[in-house]
Amino acid sequence: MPVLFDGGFRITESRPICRYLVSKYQGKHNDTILIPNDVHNAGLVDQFISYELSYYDPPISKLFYQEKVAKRFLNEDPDPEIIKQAREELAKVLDVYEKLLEGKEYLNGEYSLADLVHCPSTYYVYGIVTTHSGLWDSRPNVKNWWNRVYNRDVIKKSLEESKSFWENNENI
Amino acid sequence: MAIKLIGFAQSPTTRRVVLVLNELGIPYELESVTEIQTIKTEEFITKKHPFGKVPVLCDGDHVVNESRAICRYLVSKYQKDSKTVLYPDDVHKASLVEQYISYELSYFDPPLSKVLYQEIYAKRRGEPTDEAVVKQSLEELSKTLDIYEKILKDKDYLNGEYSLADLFHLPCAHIVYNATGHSDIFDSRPRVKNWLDKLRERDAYKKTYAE
Repeated sequence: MPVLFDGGFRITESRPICRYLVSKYQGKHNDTILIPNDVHNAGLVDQFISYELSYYDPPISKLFYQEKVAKRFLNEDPDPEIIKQAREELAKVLDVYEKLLEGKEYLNGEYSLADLVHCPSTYYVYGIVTTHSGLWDSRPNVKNWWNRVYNRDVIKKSLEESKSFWENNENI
Repeated sequence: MAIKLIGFAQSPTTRRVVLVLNELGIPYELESVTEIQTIKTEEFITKKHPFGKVPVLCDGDHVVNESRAICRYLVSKYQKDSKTVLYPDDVHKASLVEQYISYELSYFDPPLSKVLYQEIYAKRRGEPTDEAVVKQSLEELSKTLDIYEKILKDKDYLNGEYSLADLFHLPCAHIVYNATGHSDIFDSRPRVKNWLDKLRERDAYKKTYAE
């Protein structure tokens, strides 16, 4: 999961699904631009998407696994050493993001797919597991960026729909 | 001004970009990094890569980093000047190429990278090889390659025709195949073996790995 069906066409993997939807539908139903048409700006958006995959998501995934998945689904206790190491790793990444976001509202200046792909993992570790929100909130540029992205109507609505999954499925 | 690629000449991430440059016939200069400290300076971090990594591509004033992002940028800008198609125009085919790129990132590269680290890089750093990690990673890679064996049924390439998705798999597979004694994990699966053999027949592969 996820899998997308578009008529007779099927595609898997979340980031390719997003790219496909942008390729096919961007500009057709509204004015939102998620991947710029300009090749240089698109290249930079890809670069920031790669940062999310390579540097941002790994420590967040470790925290999410330890503090949500392990106990709830596997009946394992969270490992405090892994949590500590993941927090340290994430702090270093957010230090880099703090500089990247200097003088900018979004990673590539204007809102793009790069900001969007950061949302789900950030939301889970910032919003559902609240002990780590300090990592974002203690860095002014990162704090502003996350609040700006999160408060976009579409983002807020989508993320809060997922919150009800966790709340309504306590006993899976 | 020629494109400049900054990287470690023999690292798989730099070679991923070199493969694309060679496939599309794009002239470039390789600025080989010899001392790791040069990519950790304040200047490099500010101007080239905030995480202090390579490869980094400089195309005139435009600087882009992260190997797969660089490859996509090169394809976007220069594929039209080449006869080689790495990324289809058709939106449905392109999205399937992206899907296979994601498989490489999610399922192929992680175990392969662990084997690479334990068998090559750890040794270079004077660290002991963790055989348990190697064993677990090879088991994980075996499961992935069993799935690839099915994906490649009746196909020479992941999406039918050669694409960026096949290319992305090659650099790490090349090192593990040639330098770690684990070639059998690929060769014992006929379709996977056929796929890698085909990738190695390409001129761009031969040019990249001759250097």
